[in-house]
Amino acid sequence: MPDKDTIFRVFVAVVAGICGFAFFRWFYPCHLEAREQIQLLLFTPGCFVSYLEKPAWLAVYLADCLEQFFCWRNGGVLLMVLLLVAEWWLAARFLRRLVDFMHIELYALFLFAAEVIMLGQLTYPLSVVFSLSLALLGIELYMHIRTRVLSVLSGVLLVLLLYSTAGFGVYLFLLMLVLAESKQGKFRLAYWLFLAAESVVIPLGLKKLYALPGETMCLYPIESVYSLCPTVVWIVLVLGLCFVPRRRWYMSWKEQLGVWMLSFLFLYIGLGITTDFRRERLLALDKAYTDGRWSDVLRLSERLGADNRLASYYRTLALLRSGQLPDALLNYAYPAGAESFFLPWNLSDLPDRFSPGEVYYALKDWNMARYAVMRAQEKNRPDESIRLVKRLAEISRNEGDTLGLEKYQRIMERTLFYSSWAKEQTVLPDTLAGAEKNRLRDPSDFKLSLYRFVESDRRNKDAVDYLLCYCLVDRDLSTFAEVYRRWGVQFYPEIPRIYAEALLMQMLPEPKKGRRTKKTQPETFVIPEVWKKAYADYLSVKKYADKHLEALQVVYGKSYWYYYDLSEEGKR
Amino acid sequence: MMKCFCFYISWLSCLFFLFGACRPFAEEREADSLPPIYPDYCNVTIPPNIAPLNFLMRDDAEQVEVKLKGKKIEYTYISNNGKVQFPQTDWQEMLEREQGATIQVTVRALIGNEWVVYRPFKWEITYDTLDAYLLYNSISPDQLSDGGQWRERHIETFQERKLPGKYRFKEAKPYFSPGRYIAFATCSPDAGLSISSDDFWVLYGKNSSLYLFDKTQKELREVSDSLAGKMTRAYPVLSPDGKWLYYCEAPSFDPDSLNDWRFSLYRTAFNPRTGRCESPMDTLYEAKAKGHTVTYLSLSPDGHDLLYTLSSYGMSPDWQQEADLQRMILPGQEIDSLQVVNSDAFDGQPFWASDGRWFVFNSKRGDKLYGKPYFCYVDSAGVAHKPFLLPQRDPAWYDYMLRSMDSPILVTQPVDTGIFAVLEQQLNNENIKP
Repeated sequence: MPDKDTIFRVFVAVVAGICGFAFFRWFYPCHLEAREQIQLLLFTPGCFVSYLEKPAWLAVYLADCLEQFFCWRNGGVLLMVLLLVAEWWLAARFLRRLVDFMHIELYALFLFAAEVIMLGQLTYPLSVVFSLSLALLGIELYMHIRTRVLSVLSGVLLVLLLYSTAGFGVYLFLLMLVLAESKQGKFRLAYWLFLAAESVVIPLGLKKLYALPGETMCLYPIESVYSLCPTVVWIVLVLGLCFVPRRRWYMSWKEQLGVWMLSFLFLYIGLGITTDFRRERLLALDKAYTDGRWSDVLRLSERLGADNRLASYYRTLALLRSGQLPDALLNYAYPAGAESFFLPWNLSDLPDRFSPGEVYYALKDWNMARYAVMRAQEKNRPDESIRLVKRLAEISRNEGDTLGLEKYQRIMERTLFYSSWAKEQTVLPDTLAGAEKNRLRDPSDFKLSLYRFVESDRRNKDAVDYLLCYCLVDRDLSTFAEVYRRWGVQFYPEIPRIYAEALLMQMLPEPKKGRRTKKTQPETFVIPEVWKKAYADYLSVKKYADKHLEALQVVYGKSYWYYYDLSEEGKR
Repeated sequence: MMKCFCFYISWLSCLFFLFGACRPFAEEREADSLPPIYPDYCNVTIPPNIAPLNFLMRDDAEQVEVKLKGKKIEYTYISNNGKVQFPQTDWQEMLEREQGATIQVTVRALIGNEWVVYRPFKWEITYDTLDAYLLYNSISPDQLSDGGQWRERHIETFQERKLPGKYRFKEAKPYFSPGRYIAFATCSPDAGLSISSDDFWVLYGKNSSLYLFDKTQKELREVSDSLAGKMTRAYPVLSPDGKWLYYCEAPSFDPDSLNDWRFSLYRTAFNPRTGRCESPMDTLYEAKAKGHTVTYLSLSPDGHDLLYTLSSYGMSPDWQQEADLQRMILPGQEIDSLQVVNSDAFDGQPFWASDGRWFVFNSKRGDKLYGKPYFCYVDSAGVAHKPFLLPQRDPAWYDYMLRSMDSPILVTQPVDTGIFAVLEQQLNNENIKP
């Protein structure tokens, strides 16, 4: 029968674990999945050796291994929570050694909360958790040594070992060692100074070998000041408990409740400050797009708001992929205008790391898609990304490049969870075979680039539709008419409503304004009479727009005429 | 009772291991083909100071047996994972003892229940050593990252180090120009980028000019002003005696006629004292007439052989799979098309070793995506031999590589990066962007 203390500890661990699991599983699941997507761990000797070429190799390697499992929504979260609980358990053991006080482990919840708060950030390396845990494990082992000489020897060795395996955690180990020994009445200043000197000399001495600057060597794997947050919380906690005098050896229920509430409050406020639910929704949107759940993409993009460029970009792509372009084009608002159709190359937000060049991939523009991926790979350095490698494999597969596909298959076969996917892939017939060659395209000019792409491969209906819709949203009727006449006509025995509306505007410009040039021949397009009559009706009632805009919207709200002449986006 | 029990257990264990260890009898079959090894080291010529040519089998071999038979030595290696990795000491001893000789390599592979004996191949070991260090730029294949990361590989072992710092030249070649002057073009090929349908993408430079850096005077000087006409000039190389300047020249870039934008190869007399070109230029390769563009020059240390890359168009043919190396023997301007060297993928960026017997170049053969350094031997008769890929400790290393190993350069000593700083500083002072 376990004693009360053990039951209490298990209870605390279970409560903390449930809280952590609930947060990452139901409130913030996509962030963990994104972590998995932006790294690539190959189970090869060479890849393992590359970890040894950096400080804190064990912490970084274990973190990368654990991140592989984040592609499982439940299993990944569970494993991470188990890691945090293990860290809490080690921290609690150290506190019990340091302060002989009942239920002291409750205070270690602050460290747990700090880790949960920080792990919500994509920039917080999971390796820091391992680094701190290894430092706690080191001190736990060290405290078991009773002999003076052996403790000195093991201290010297542990500093060396901890630096190479846990990096920055070695300093935490040193601090805990000094506190623990001074609490036990062992004041060994010379020994402590020697260890401190060792912990500085080792990284500085190895900086040439690792080709890293001195400060990076000392702080590895910490990348930013924010990553120090759990460490700072832990240090404050340990120093506080060490130096604040206590009158009792146990914790009253009021104090226990107070610590519970404080730690939850800390967690709540911390999460409130650091969590980015907008980004979480964007990641969810990206996931839905990647999985091909088009209706979810449309729903999630609505939630993100029409003025979110990324959301409208994904929505436009989802419309294309689900075959709803051009019919459903004007079911949605376009506050950003034609910018909803592409993303700028210098956008430093999510797409650059997660889904670069989705539009090119969707349009089967393999060269541009590959360029976007390789550019993103460069931004993602020094890490590689499984998602980007998978995309390169898909591009090679789709363009019939056997050598390229084999290259990426070999890489993916060495991963934990993508091996079977890689083995299943076979090259597809080249969709661009027969396309005209050497159309120079400037990646920074999306419209012209797309125009040239369509020019070189006029059989690509998706690309033609995308360009036509781009012109519509951009209110560029002359280019629209030209593109439709040159390449669009072949795809439509019966002209789509929205195209007919735009062509009518181009063919029959309003005489008064005369703002549209009549470049195309009206007889080129066969427009059903019903649309011509509808356009005439629209023109006749349009003059009442000033007073009856709402009524006009009810009737013509989904028409291109309304978008062009009267809608806010059109006016803009 | 206990003794008896132990006796039976021991016997049973022995029988278990005996039968477990035995495979059914594997038949032997002779294949009429070379072994499917990667990298392709079949029938190559290698220097006596190269690291072990480790390779792997591409035919799912469960076990591989490799017999090396030379004049003085005979080794047999067995691999149980399809990867053949020779011990460094054995390898070095073999190369030392077999210099100038030929080693016959016989590969047997256990595939399923059959030993396949492949046709033997040869490794010719030269007396001429290769420069001990290879410098390359580990860069994204799009070549648009911020210069990549320069690395230095010791070719006699597998040791490699990153060179500290970032350098403005994407290739290290300008830093290693022999003699008093460093010649370089101001415009690196990434000044513009376009994506075309057949090649992955096209890199081009605009208004590129030639510059010289005087190492003794620590001065930068523009060469283009002493050459006639407003043209795009690139890839300058000074002859070892400093009397000739070789370079590539094309009309200014016109995006509408990319396919016709070609660089010709020129030579002009150069006065090392004044640092100016002194006579009318001499056309060595007329791009317009021959329908190809010349890029990436490298002149042998004796000034006798000029290596360059020949492709269809443009200034940076890195994504043109038809790009091939050519050699011009300068006195008579004879051209060697280097058929044994070139592949169906990009081959370019040549660089001569210090003895003029070996050169290194960048090739995308194998995957057509990522550049890898190949070494080629040119014998005393001027015949180029089949090149071989830089060996790695893990022969599967290239399979997992996601960066190009660009602009390979051979040097005899480890690089002292201090010498780069002088030129870097000068470029900064003059506000010149290479």
